[in-house]
Amino acid sequence: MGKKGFKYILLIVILGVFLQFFTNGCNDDNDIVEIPKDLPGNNEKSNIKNREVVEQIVNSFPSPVEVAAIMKDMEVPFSKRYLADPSIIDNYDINNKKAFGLGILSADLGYLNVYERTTLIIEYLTAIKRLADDLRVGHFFDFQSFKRLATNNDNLDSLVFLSVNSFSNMNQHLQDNARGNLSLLMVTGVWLEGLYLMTQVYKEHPNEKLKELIGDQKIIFTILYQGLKLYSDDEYFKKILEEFKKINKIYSQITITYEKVEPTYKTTQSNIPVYEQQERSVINVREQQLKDLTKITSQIRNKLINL
Amino acid sequence: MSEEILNALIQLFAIIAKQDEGLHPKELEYIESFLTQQLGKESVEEYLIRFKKKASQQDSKKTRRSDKKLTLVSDSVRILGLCKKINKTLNRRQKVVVLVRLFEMVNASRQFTAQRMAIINTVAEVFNISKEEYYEIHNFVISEDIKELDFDAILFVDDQEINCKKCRFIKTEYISGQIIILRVKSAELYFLRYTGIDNIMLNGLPVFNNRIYLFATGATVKLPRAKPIYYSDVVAKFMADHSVIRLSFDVIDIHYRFPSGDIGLRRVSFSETQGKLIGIMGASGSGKTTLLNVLTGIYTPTSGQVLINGIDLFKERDNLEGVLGYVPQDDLLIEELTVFENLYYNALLCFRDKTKAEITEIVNKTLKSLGLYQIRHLKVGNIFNKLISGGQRKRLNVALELMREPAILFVDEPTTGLSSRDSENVMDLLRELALKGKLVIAVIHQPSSDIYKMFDNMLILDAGYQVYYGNPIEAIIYFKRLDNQVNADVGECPVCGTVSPELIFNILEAKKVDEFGHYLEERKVSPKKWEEYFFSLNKIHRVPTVNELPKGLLHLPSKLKQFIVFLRRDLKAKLSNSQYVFLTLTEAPLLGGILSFLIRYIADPKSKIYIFYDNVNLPAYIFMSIVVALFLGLLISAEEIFRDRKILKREKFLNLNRHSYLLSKIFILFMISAIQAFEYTIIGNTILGIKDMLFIFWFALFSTYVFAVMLGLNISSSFNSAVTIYIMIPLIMIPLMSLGGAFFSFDKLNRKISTIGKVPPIAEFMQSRWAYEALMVYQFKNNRFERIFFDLDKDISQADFKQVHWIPAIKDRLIEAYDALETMQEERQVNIDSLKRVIDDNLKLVYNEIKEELRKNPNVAFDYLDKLNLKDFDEHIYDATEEYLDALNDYYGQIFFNKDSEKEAIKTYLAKAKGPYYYVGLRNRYHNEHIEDIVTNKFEKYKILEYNYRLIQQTDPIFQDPDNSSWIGFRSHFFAPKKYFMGHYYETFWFNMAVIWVMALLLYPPLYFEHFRRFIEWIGKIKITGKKSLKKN
Repeated sequence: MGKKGFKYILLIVILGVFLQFFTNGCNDDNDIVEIPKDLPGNNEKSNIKNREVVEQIVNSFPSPVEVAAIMKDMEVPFSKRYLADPSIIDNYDINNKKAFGLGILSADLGYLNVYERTTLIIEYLTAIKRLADDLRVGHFFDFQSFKRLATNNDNLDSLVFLSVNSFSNMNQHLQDNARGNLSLLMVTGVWLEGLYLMTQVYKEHPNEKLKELIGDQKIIFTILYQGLKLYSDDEYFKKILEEFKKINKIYSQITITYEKVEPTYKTTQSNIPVYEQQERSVINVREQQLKDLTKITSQIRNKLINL
Repeated sequence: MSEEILNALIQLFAIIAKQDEGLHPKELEYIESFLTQQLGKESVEEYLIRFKKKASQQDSKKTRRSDKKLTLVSDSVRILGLCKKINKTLNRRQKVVVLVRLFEMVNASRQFTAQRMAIINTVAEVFNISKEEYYEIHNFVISEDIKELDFDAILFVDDQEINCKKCRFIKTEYISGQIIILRVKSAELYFLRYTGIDNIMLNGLPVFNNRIYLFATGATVKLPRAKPIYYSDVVAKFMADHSVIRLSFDVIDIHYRFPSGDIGLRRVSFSETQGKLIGIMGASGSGKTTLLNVLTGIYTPTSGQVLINGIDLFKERDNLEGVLGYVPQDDLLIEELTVFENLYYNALLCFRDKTKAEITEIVNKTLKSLGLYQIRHLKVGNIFNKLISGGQRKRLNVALELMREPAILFVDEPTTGLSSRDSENVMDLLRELALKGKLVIAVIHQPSSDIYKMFDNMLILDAGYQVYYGNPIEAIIYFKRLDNQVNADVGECPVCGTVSPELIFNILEAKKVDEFGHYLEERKVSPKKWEEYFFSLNKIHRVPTVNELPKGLLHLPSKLKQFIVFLRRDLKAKLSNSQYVFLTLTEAPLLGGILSFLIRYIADPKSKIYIFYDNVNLPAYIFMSIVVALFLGLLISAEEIFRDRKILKREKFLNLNRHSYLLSKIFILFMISAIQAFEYTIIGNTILGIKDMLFIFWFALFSTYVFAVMLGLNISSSFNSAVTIYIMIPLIMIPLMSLGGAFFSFDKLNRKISTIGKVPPIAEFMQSRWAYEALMVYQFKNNRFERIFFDLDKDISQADFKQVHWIPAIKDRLIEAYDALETMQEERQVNIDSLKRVIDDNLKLVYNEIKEELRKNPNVAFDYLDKLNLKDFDEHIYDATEEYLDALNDYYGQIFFNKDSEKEAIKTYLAKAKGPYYYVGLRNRYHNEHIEDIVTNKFEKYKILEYNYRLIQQTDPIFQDPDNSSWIGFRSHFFAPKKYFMGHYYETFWFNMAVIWVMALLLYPPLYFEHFRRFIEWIGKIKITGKKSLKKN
């Protein structure tokens, strides 16, 4: 074979390599996805209306900002350990998880706001924005204003107002479009993270006021629990409900008695106005119950955010 | 003549002289005069004594031994020895001269004895002179009888007809006896003998009766009462019956004005026939090269004609194909090719009907005849890296033209920059061509005496004026005479035969002198005056027009064949440059490797695992890849044509097909582009983990290259220096980079150039924008993750936009209009006009938007569209519209819900079927968050804009269908998922690729017709005339 023959062979080899790369170079068979045509999806708008449920909760539970303010007043030092890792959101696929995660991170954001951790605030805001955009509710949150307010501690009340207002608008939109489940999950996230924070802080810094607050959550929990039950057909809700049963068990042992009291406002040391409830509740909670609740809450919270 | 030769010659003379009766006084006399001619007076004595000694030495021997034969044998041996010695040192011409001298000596005594003739015969044999020529020389020297001189190597000059059959004849007037001229063909030498008694001058020196003179190149015989006889006349006579192409070359009153307006030539006229070597001389800037360019037909004269065999060079060019040959001053060689290859590819382009073997033979023959055969495998190299000598280069350049044997050959300054030896070689070559019947016209600069004399005629230009045309030696006499110099009639130095052409220029340009002896600027005689002198004293004789069609040997191959030859030539030249090959092959993968390595970013500081999804640099990588492709494409092409421009000029002259040339260039550059793009893509995509898209990325980069190559070729053919070309590259690259859509958002450019909701018109011309959009859209849409969800995402996005932004915006406008209406009805006195305008403006927008919505989405009906105007608008219409909007809201809500549920179902399915982390894994491997951010315009503050009574969506361009309101309008917003053109939708990637190829294709006509170069030249012209008009003002 002459020089020419060799050249041709070389050419063919090169062409072969070329084609190989172009056609199925590094195919990973596992990455070829065939989606079945008729997936079991619900093509009918759900009739479940839970706007009242959500609004009731939103109006009655202490916002994360308030909870954090109380902690700060009690001179509980800041700790990042209490917070969820915002990079967790990268692992969320379905919208339900995203909505729940949004709630969790929002609660953390409130905590951070009070403790003025600016760099972390940005990190959490970014994650929240991404989740909100994914859920197509991003436009309800004016992130620019959030950022401005959050990095400026004097405007905490504005921040609370903005949050509640934004959430309310969004809830309206979601409810109108049969996506109330997402609102509910967000609220669930906020509430659970709030409870988690309180119990964790209480563990290290036991305090009567905090204890009261934790006990108070029974009222909200009951509403929330009922709300969640409306969606018991959904797999994700099923999982949450399963976990919440455990909380329900503990709370059912805690009793609250009420005494009517005139509503009062008072200003705390750090100039944060705190709204004192109109009723004075007497929480009958035992330390053991609190310990169980702390443990269960931590377990559930960690399980759910990693679901 | 060297001493050695002279000694040998003296010895030969002595041997012959001593034969028979010994030295004859006449012979001695001849020897003396011969020596006087060759040497100075002082040396003659010395050699004469030596000669006498030799001759008498023999005499004594002879008297001692009377055996003649024995002496002859010993002499024969000596003769052989001497001749062999001479053989080694003398060339053919010199040997012929020696032979003629021997004859002449014998002739002096007219003792033609057997021994003497036998010795001469022996010498001739050893010198390898043919019997025939020996006989001719013999008769020429000895014979008086015309009949014995009747062969075709003899020419008579006489005043009456000579009665001979074969011999040639030039008729003259009033001459006693004849001038007999012998041509020794093998040496191309001419000898002259005069039989009369007139006072005849050869080159200004007297000719004696019956002596033999060498009639050298450029020689002139002056007759007392007739026109002189020139060397060229004689040669022409001998050449007459050769089967040469007969020519008449008439230049009639050529005027030439430069595009700038300056006059280049005024009234140049001459007329020539075949077999002449014509020189064009003049000081620098006198118009020599301009004249040559006009004569070759490259410049068209302002007025006047050039007729070749009666055919007008400028009007009937096609009939003259291949007749003209042009060797410009520039080097036309391809430096990477060998001597042989240079000629070989040239020959392939000139001869259609010859086989490769025949062409090889022609090339080898040409190389041999030019003495270049030995170096045929040497690379030509460039002027700075000389591998062959200057003379060899020049001869090779001439050979390029010679091979196809044009009838008329133009040579521009063939000797400039060459050593005197090389110059003479080149001129000998031209002389020889003329002798073979070609018309050779050469521009000559500062010729040496020998070279000057080689020309048959000389045209002298002075500032565009033709101040002389005629015999070169006569020229010197002519100017000397006009200058009233002493000794004006002597053209050359009587002793050495040297002429000094510089003298002409000294006379022409002589400056006036002031009273202090300083030279003034002003000339003694102006060029115009010189011209008037010339034309008043001379008349240009028109040669008889030849009517046959001149035919060149040029048979151009078909366009396809030319293409293949060009391709092979270029490929060979490129491959032989190992540095070029190496850089070309390594440049792209190196850049690809460096770039992708630098930006292989891992977002999580704690992790070491690269996640494609998180690599923030991917959009920048895509854009940089396009920039790299543009740069490399420009670089590989920017010098291509520029480097060949001299060769191109010649090939244009040959009428070779420019398409073939350009397409061969384009083809090779496309191949290089394809290889480089492939190397780049495979390295870059592998390092960055861009999966599945090798072909797509390659094709996009290759298309980018293609565009850049076409652009680069245009630049390279437009500018005349490498520096300008490289200055041009940033001028092209910066707009391409800044308007590519990656650096600056198209929405945020200067309002003067941007169009809201669409790519700015100027950016539509930027190739980078099409390539970038194509790759971004393709990567986003077609990666294995997003392609599962893309259609759903699109519906979700559109429904969401309508619900969240569009419907509320319309409602706002509606309410505003309605509020204004109510105000108007309640309070009549307020400014009604401004209220009306508010209503009108708002309703216009609402009308436009709803109209468009109804066109695209007829599912929700609305009957009051036409009532949405200032006149008809009322509460009822307002309610109906609001109702419609609510219905629309529900409609889109339903779509949103359905699609969103479907999407959720798929996600759930994936988690179940493939595992809980499959979704995230798939996304991390194939999808890129930052590409998504850009194509969905995530960071845009204003989601919706009002412009020109329309609402413009600013978010999610990737999910937004392009505007299809105009049938052929293909313009769309940036990152449109598909393109609309002529009633059809096309995938963005393929549509954009098509646009790029069309752009590249559109760059071909300007390349072919050199539009850009013409445009630049045109700009240059404007400036000049502008200046002039300023001056006038």
